[in-house]
Amino acid sequence: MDTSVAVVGLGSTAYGALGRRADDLAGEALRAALADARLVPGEVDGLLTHRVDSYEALAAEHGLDPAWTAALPPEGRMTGPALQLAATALRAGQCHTVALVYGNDSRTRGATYGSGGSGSTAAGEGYGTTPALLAPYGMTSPGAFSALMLARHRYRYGTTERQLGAVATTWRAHARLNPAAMRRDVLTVDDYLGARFVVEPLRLFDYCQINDGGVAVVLTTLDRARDRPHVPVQVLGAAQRARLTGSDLPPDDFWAGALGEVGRAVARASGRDRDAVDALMVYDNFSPNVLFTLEGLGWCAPGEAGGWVEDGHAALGGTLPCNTSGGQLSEGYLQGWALVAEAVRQLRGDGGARQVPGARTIQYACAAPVTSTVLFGREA
Amino acid sequence: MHVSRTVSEHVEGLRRGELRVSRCGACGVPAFPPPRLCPRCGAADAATWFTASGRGVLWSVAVFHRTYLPEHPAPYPVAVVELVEGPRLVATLTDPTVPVGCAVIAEIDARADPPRIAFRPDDHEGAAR
Ligand SMILES: [Zn+2]
Repeated sequence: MDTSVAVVGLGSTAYGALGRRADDLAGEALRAALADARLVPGEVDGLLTHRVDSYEALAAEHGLDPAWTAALPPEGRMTGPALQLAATALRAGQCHTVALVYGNDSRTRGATYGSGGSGSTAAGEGYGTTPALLAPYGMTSPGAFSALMLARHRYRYGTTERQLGAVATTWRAHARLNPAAMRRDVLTVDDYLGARFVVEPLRLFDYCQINDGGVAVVLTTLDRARDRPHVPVQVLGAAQRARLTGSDLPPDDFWAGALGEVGRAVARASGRDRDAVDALMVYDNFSPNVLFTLEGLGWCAPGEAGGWVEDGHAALGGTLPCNTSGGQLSEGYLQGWALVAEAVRQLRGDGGARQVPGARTIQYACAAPVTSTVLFGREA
Repeated sequence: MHVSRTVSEHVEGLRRGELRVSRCGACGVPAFPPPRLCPRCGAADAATWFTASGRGVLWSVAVFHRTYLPEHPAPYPVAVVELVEGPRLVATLTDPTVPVGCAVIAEIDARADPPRIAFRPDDHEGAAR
């Protein structure tokens, strides 16, 4: 029996300062995804919500009475696990069609990712599992965590600021081909170097956007997917590996061990190795993560990703086009979901001016205390 | 997100001018902050506290140029130091230009509230590795 699963519906809102609540945006994305798949609520029997305040209200407003429900905490590291979880439920026959729904109102709430917070905002704002060891020193922000990793990477390998800047400028060139991207003005390396430090060695353009928006994805079994209007985009493999022990401090290996493990797992599951991957959607909350991910997945030797990006390998037309939408640095920060949406659009051939010609296999990867990757593909 | 863990021994130690950190009392693996279960041997609530030498190596440093909280006006450095005894911890630096990889030694400001550790270059640096 074929237990393959595929994306058949995709919906997204505008990304930006929208003045709307997360659940409202998630609902708009859900309705768009159901329309895209030409499904009615009664045909959806699985619901997974991420960063949504009330899965109950969302379901009630959309006529969903699923056989399978899951609600994940708001960290962006949960996006890969969300897809893995839903795919596993489908393969196990626990349900046949899952809507995965994400909403984010961090711009409207005024999130800064570094000023503390309480209640439902704490996950985005608070920092670390042991604040008594961090707060006295002003170690408050995930950006600082990434800055510490970059400073360490520099010490180990000599990664230059121009090399890192190539991530932001490459993504921006991609965003200029994406009408939905938030940032589409020209960004040169000199612009990058001239911008202020936020947490040195990270500059302004090393940080992702802070915006509102929603994304929804409908997953179903491949046999059902063949009856839907769009070409099925299969989930060929998904894997995760946590490094939660000691996660208040940056990992010594830049998460390379976890990345290597999940990369090998999806290659094994899919029968498609790294050479088959046509594009990579890499979790870029901060640009150093791109370098760590390229090295951890084995695209570059340790310490060589900066030069690799600077040489154009990650650009459209390069060896491995990355974040063809402009990524979270330029398109918008939907905690991985906009990158997943871009993978689906590229594999459907809907990439417009930024289409990767003949794309068959696209990888999503997130290096984090829960590292994950998902391999998407069209039938060979 | 904010899981409480018992670090009052560390904080109270700083108030006395001592750098108190923990290791597993059963197998000796460095484990700070103290875990409920040792990640190596599984011993429960077995962490034991000891006074560290204060010597270590600057693992990394970042400098905040943005003020997120009024009690921490920018610019200020945040350091990660690996102690010679094994644990790593977050602290500040007496001088933000100390290079990564430098041997450092702790100075404890016991009268600050909360008390804080600042590392400075270790001129003897026999402890560097
Ligand atoms: Zn032990």
